[in-house]
Amino acid sequence: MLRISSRAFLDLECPKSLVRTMETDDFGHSTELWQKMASIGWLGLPFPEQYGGSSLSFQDMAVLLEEMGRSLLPGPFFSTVVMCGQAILEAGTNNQKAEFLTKIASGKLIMSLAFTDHDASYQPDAISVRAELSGDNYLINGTKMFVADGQTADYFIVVTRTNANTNPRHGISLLLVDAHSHGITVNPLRIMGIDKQAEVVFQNVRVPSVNLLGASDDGWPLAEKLLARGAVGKCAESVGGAQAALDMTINYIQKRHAFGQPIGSFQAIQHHAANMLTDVDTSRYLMHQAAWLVDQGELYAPEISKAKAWTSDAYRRVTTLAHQCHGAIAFTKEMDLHLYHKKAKINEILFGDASFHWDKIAGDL
Amino acid sequence: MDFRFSTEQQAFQAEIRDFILTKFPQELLWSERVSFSDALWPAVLETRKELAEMGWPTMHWPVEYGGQGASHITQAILVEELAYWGMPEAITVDDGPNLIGPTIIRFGSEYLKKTFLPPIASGKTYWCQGYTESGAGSDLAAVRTAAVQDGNHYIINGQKNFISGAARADWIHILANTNPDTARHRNLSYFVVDMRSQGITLRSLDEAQGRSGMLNEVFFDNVRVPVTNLVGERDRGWNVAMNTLILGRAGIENVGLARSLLKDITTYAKDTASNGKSLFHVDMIRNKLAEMAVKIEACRLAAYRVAWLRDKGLNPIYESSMSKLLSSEMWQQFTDVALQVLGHYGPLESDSRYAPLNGRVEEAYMGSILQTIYEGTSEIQRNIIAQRGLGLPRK
Repeated sequence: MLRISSRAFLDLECPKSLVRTMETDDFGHSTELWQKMASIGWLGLPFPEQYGGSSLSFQDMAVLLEEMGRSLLPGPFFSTVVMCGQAILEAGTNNQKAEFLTKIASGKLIMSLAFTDHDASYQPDAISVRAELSGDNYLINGTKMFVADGQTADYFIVVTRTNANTNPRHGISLLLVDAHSHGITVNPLRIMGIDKQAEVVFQNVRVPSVNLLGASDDGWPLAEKLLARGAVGKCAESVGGAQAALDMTINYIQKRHAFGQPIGSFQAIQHHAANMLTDVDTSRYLMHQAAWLVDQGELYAPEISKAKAWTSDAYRRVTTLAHQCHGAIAFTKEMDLHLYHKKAKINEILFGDASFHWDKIAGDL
Repeated sequence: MDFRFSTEQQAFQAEIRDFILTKFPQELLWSERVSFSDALWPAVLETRKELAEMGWPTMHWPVEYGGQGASHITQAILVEELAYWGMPEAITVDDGPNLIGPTIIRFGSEYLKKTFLPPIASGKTYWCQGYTESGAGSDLAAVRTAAVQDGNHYIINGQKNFISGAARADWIHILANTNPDTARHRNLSYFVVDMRSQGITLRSLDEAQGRSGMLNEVFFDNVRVPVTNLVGERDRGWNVAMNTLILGRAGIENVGLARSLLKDITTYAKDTASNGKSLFHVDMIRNKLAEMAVKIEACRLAAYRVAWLRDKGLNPIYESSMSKLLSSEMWQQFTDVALQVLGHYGPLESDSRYAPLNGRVEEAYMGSILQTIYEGTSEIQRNIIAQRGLGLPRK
C-alpha cells in the first residue's frame, strides 16, 4: 500500500525532468516539493503522533526509501528525517523533540548531519572538530567535510570532540547547531550526481549547552547508531535504484534489435541480466533483514554491515552492467541511467563502503 | 517476517547438533573423499537409518506419506546443520527424501507412492539420479537412451554418465526417449529402475579431488522395466524431470559448509603467526574473510528464500537457480580464499601430519570445481534466471 501510494506520488511529483534540473542546481532542493511532502505527512513518518508524525517502523521507512531511490528523489529528506529526525527522536530531551520534530514534520526545518572531518573517516579517532564548554555555551572550531545537504540545512547535528581523551571513543558529543550562527561558513562541494555536499567551517561558533544531543562526552554510541541507520537507509535507496536500472535495462534489451533479433535473446546479454537480478534480489533480502534488525533495536548487529558491504558493491555492479547492456546511447545525458550510476557510487561511499564494513565484520569473526 | 529462527527451530538445531556429536560415527565427519568406500559405507547406511528413525530426512513430506508435515524452512535447517558438522554428501544430499520422493508425491501413481515412499521414509533405499549422458548435459533434452514398450514392460538401452552414487544405489530415476519421431521435450519419459535389474552395468570414475566410487557410467543393455514404473505420463517426462531438477537446486548445504569453514579458517588465521603477526591481522586476509562472511550471508538468505517460497505453496523456479548459482560460485571463491590463507600448507593432503584442518580445504577446493557444473551449469542457471525470472525470450 505504502509502496503503491509513494510510487504514485513520486511518479507525479518527482519526474526525471525535476531530477535533471536538480543535478545542476546549487541547492538541489525544491521548496514546492518539500511542502507537498510535508502536506502528505512524509516529513514526520517515523515520529510519534504528538510531534505530527505517524510512528512508521523502519521496515516501512525502507519501503519508502526504496521508492525514493527508484525515483532518485533529490533534496534533504534523508538528512532531515532519516538521520537527524530519528537521532533527535532517539536521544533528544522532551523539549528538543517537541521543538525539532514538530518543525521537521511540518516542513519548516531542514537538518543535516555533520559527521566526517577532513579525514573523511567514520572512525571515532577521525573526529577532531573541537567543542569546548565555557559557561553556558560550547565553542566550536574546525571543519566538517562532505556534509550532506549542508547548503540547505537550517540546523546541523555536529559530531564534535569535547574531550581529548586517549580513548578516541570517549570525549565525543553531538550538538544541535543553528546553521545561521555567527562564525559558520558553508562552502558547497561540487560532486557528481544529484547529491549535494558541503564543507562547513566553524570559527568560534557559540552553541548553548542545552543544545547537547544525548550524553556529554559519551556520544559515540549514538553516533554509531546513526551510522548504522544511515547505512541501512542507503541500502534501501540502493535497492530501489538498482531495481530501476534493471527494469530500464530489461525494457531496453527487449526492444533493441541487432543481427535481426532483440539483443535480450542473446545469452551474453541474458547472463548480464541474470547477474543484475541476482545482485538486486540478494541486496533486497540483506536490506530487509537489516531493516528488521533496526526495528528490533539491534543496531550493532553484524548483519547490518553485511547488508551495506554487499549492497554498496551490488548497486554499482548493476548500474555498470546496465550501461554495458545499453551501449553508447545511455552514456548520453538524454537517458537517465548515468544518474543512477552516479548515485550508486555516492551511496557506496556514504556511511562506509565495503572495506569499511568488512573491517567491522572481521572484528566479529 | 522474522529473520531469526524461532525458539523451536533453535531447539531443533541443537537437537541435530547433539545427535551428530554424540550418536554419529565420528569417523564419518569430514569423510567426503572416502564416504563411498567399502570401509565407510556400512557406517553411512547405519547413520541414514538412524536419521530416518528420527523421521528427519522426510520431515517435510505430508504425514500420509511418512513425513511430519514440517516446513521446508525446518528441513533446510536440518540440511544446513548436517553439512555444518561435516556429514558427507551421501547423507546431506539424499535423492530419496529430496528429489524422487517429492516427485512421486506430485506426479506418481498410487502404486508408485505405496511401493517407493515407505522405504525412502524409513531410510532403507538409496537412490540416484540418471539424467545426464555424454551428449546430453546442459542440453538435457538430447537424451538418447531409448525405452521401447514391449507388452507390460519397457526395454531400455543406452548409457548414462557422471551418475552420482550409482554404485551404491538401490534404485535410479531416469529420463529415456520413448518417441524418437516427436519433437524435443515431447519425447522423453521418466522411469524408476531397480539397479539390480539384469542388463545394468557400471563403470566407476575417479574424481579429481580424490573421491572414488561416487561418479559412475551406467550402461543399460535390454533392461526390462515394468510399465508401472513410469512416473507421470509417457512422453511427458521432461516436465516431471524439470520439477525434480528444481528441487535439487537448493544451495543450503554449501551455506552450512561455508559457515563451518569460515569459523575454522578464522581460528586458524588467528592462531597462526607469520612475520611476527597473526595472519588474521594481515589486511588482505582479514578483508577477504569478511567479504566471504558477507557473501555467505547473501547465500543463506537466498537459500532460505527458496524454502520460504515452498512453504507458501509456490514453485521457486528462478529463485532455486539463483540460490544454486550463488552458493556454488561462493564455494569456489571461498575455498580458494581459504587455500590462500593456508599458503604452502594448503595443498597438503589429509594424510600429511602437517595438513591444516585435516586437509579438508584442499579437498573442498578441488571438489568445488564440479559444483558449478552439476545440477545445471552456472550458464544454464543464468539462462533460467534471465528467462524465468526476467521474462527474456527463449530461443
